[in-house]
Amino acid sequence: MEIRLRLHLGIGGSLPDSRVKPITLILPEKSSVDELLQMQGIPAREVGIVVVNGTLSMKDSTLKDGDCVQLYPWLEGG
Amino acid sequence: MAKMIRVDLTNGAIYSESVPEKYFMLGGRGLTSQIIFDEVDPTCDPLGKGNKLVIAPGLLTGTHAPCSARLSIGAKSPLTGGIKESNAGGTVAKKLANLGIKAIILEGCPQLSSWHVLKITKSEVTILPADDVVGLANYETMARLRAVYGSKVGILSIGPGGERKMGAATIAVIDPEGRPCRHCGRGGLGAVMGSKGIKAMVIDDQGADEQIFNISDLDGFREVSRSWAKNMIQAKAILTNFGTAALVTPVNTVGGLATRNFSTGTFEGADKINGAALAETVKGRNGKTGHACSPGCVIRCSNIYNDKEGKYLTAGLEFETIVLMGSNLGVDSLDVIAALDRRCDDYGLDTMEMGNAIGIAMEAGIVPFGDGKAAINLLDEVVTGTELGLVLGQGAKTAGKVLGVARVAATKGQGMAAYDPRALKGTGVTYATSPMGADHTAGNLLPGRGGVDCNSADGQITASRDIQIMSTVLDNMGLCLFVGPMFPEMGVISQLMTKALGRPFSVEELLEISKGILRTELVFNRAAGLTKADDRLPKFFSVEKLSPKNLTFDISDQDLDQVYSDL
Repeated sequence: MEIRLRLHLGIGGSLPDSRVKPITLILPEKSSVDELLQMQGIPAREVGIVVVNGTLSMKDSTLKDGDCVQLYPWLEGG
Repeated sequence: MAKMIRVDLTNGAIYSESVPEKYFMLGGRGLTSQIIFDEVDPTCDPLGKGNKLVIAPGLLTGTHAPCSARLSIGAKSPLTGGIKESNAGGTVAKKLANLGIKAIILEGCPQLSSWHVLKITKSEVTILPADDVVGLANYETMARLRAVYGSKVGILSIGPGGERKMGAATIAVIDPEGRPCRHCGRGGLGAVMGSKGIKAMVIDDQGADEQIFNISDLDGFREVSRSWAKNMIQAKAILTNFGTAALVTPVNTVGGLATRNFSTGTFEGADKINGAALAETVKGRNGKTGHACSPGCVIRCSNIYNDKEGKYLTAGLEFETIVLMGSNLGVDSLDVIAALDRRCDDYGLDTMEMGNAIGIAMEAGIVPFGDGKAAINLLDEVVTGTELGLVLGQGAKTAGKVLGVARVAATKGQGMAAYDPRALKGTGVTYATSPMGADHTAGNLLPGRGGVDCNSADGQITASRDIQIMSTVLDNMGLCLFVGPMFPEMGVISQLMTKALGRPFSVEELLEISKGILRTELVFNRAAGLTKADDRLPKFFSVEKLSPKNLTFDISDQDLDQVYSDL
């Protein structure tokens, strides 16, 4: 299945620019967000917020074809 | 020996007092709230002689603990009618700790309208005429006082907002560069300082080597501090690189970015005002990210923002200002937001209260959303003193009443922070129930925090209660909120306190002190006349769906009343 991935704010050593185009990835059917992180070599502890298709999600949630995944680090501030 | 300085402005009497034993474990917000509770009649007029302005460094200010130089200022608020504490970075808290001053209490009011500068040095406290600085805005006020008293002094000052005793008036705290860029901004405390006839305070700690909190095991305390600082330098790199503006994109993504007077939850121009855009603009103009606003800060979330010509414009441009003066006004230009921020710092006005008030003026049709130049003009009107400007300077609630706008995002009379409570429901619970009103610092359940889904009502009551208690711990210690109001940080602070006191000090003991502070504040508010009806969000949040996710604030009144039921 094909998913799109956007990495924000330095996640996985990404460029510090959230306006970058999403990366398209081919993953095995029914992969979870956790598995996506493993495959991309992104340490799970770096990821604070998972957004799938604009909705907050969890790291153990299962992805489906066409999903858009956005990852943010843990955030402080206000 | 730590002391408290009391100044009675009615007769000019100055007292140096020993600190009562019961204040031993209190600092910052804990101490300002307790002194107000002990000494101020809750029914007093906030701008009258019965109110007191209390200024206190945190309990750990002046120690080796990282990020521990916050300054708390408290009083009965002219905006909320309840107890208020607002804290800021800058250099003043550490200087007060060096002078051994645990609190300054300003009480009474001058019988005739007169303006003074309060000067505090190692050897004396003096009340001086303020003729040279009265009527000036904050930048010029601080520049003149530094020219007279030296470039290293700490300064607190009010601008035209405070002199006019406006609901949005701040107290400016000097930053390490000598600029008025840090503010005890919320709750109109600048108006209380103005009502005491104090234009500015100069704090000179030259030759001072005191402490307000003795550390029993100094080596142990240093070791815990050092390892915590090292850890934070890594863990908080996002704040160092992007500042709190890093929150713009994720808060927009969860549909909770205050936009056009809280009418939608996402902003089409968010990418132009987010953390990446800010960092790029700042660096491209030879400004600075990773700026420390106070001594001992290892997070360095502040910045120095230059204009298009590379000339200094403002510093400390952060999330609340960027959203409430950006998307909330339909403005997608960082330069406009920076110009508004500069003016607010200079005039001594809260960017958050003013962002709300100008948003309301835009909704009223006085100027269109998105018109940055008009927003700047409205802010200038507050100082030139047009009728409209005087209304806006009193804050969101007054602006809504006078301009006939129903959608006023405020609780307890205070304009909301930049998170729409329909999408960030735990933060909404805090807005409703905090004794401080709709503050972003009272217990902010950011996306991903507290193990709850911020878009869902589930678990928000407990999550808000917990984070309000832990935020109060940080406020008592003088620690910056960005060290994190969460359980792991409470563990580190209990280790620090164990080394400081020379006896085991548990997380539970830490949280008990914090609960006591909250109880004190809640009791004061009830006695001041605030009721359960004040612990509610404006109705429109429950009935108007927030696009694009069609969310409402769906937490019941009964549930809100549970937040502090067993405190």
